[in-house]
Amino acid sequence: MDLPEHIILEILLHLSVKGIVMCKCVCKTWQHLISSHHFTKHHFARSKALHVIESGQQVILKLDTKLKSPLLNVDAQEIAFHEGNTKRKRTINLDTKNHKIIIVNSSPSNADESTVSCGFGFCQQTNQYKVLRVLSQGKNQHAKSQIEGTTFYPYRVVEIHTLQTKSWRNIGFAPSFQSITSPTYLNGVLYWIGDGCSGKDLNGVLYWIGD
Amino acid sequence: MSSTEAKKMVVLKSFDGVTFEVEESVAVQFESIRHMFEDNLAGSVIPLSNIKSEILSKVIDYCKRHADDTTDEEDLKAFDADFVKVEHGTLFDIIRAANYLNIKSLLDLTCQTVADMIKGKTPAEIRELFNISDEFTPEEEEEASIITRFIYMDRYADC
Repeated sequence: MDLPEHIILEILLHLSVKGIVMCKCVCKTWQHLISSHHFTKHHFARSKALHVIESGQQVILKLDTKLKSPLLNVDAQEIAFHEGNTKRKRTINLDTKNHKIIIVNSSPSNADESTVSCGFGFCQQTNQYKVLRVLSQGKNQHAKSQIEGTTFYPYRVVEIHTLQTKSWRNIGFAPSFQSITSPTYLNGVLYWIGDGCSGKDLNGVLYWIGD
Repeated sequence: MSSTEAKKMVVLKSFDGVTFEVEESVAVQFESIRHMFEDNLAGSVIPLSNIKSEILSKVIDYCKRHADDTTDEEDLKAFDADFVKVEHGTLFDIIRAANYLNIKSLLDLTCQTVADMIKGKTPAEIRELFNISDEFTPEEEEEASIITRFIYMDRYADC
C-alpha cells in the first residue's frame, strides 16, 4: 500500500504525541519524517493546548532511563509536567531536535534548596525547549513576617534550563505565593496557578514569556 | 427545458475507461483539475489516469453530498462516518485520489481515519497496516519495544 511520503506526513500530522512517538518506531523513513523540524513546526501549529500531566500522576516521571528516543520533543504545546512539591530526586529525560538525550536533573544541588515547581515550555524565537523551575532557597524558606501577621516566601528564585546548555541559570525571584501548581504551556507562555499570596486569600496566575 | 440541461456538466474518465458525468457545482471541489473545465472546454472528457472507477465513483458521491446545501450537519457527519467504513486498501486509494484531486476536506477526513487506526497500535501492527518491511537493527528494535511498553503501560500493566 505504498503511500507517497507527503501523504504519510499528512496522516502523521493528524496524530497525538503518543501516536507520533509510537510511529517513530515503525521504520527509518517515518522516523526521519517525524524528526524533521518541518514536522514539529506543522504539528505544533495544529495541536490544541492541553494540560496533560497534573500533580499526582507520575507517568512522565516514570520514564525508563534506558530510553534513547525522545518522548517530549514532538510537541511542547501538548506537554506540561508537574514536578510537585517534593525533595525527591527525579531525573527527566528530555530531548532536543538533535536527538541526543539531555538529562535534566531537577533536584537542586544545594541541600538548603528545594524545588517548588517545575514547568516545561518552548521558546518560539529560538526554537528551543526550556525548563523553568522555582526553588526555595535557604533555611528560612517559610519566613514569617511580623508585619500584619502575613507570611512571605522571600527566598524563592526562578531558574531556567535551556535544553542544549546543560546548566541552570538564575533569572530572578518568584512572586510570593504559598503554592504554585499546574505548570501549563500555551502559545509561548508558561502559566502556573498561584495560591495564597502573602497570607491573604489571593489567587492568581503566574506566567513567564519566551526568554 | 429540464433543470439538468440548464446545469453545466463535466465529464470525467477513470483509469479503467469509465466515464462519469458530474455537475460542475460538484466538480469544483476537485481543486487540481478545476482549471480544466473552467477554461470552458465544454463537453471534452477529463482523463483521470490514476483513479479507478470504483474509487472515482465514491469520491464523486462524497463531493455530491458535500455540495448539497440542503443536507444538515448531523446528516453530513453520519455520512462521513459511514463513508470511511471501507477496507484499508480502498481507504488508501481514496486518500490517493483526494490528494491527487486536491479535495481538502476529504483528505482531512481520510487521513484522520487512518490516524485513528494507528492509535492504540504497536509499531509492528502499524507496519502490517502500511505493509512496511522492518528495517531496524536489533538495538533499535529493543528501544522501540521499551517505548511501546512505556506508552501502553496500562495495556501491559496486567501482564
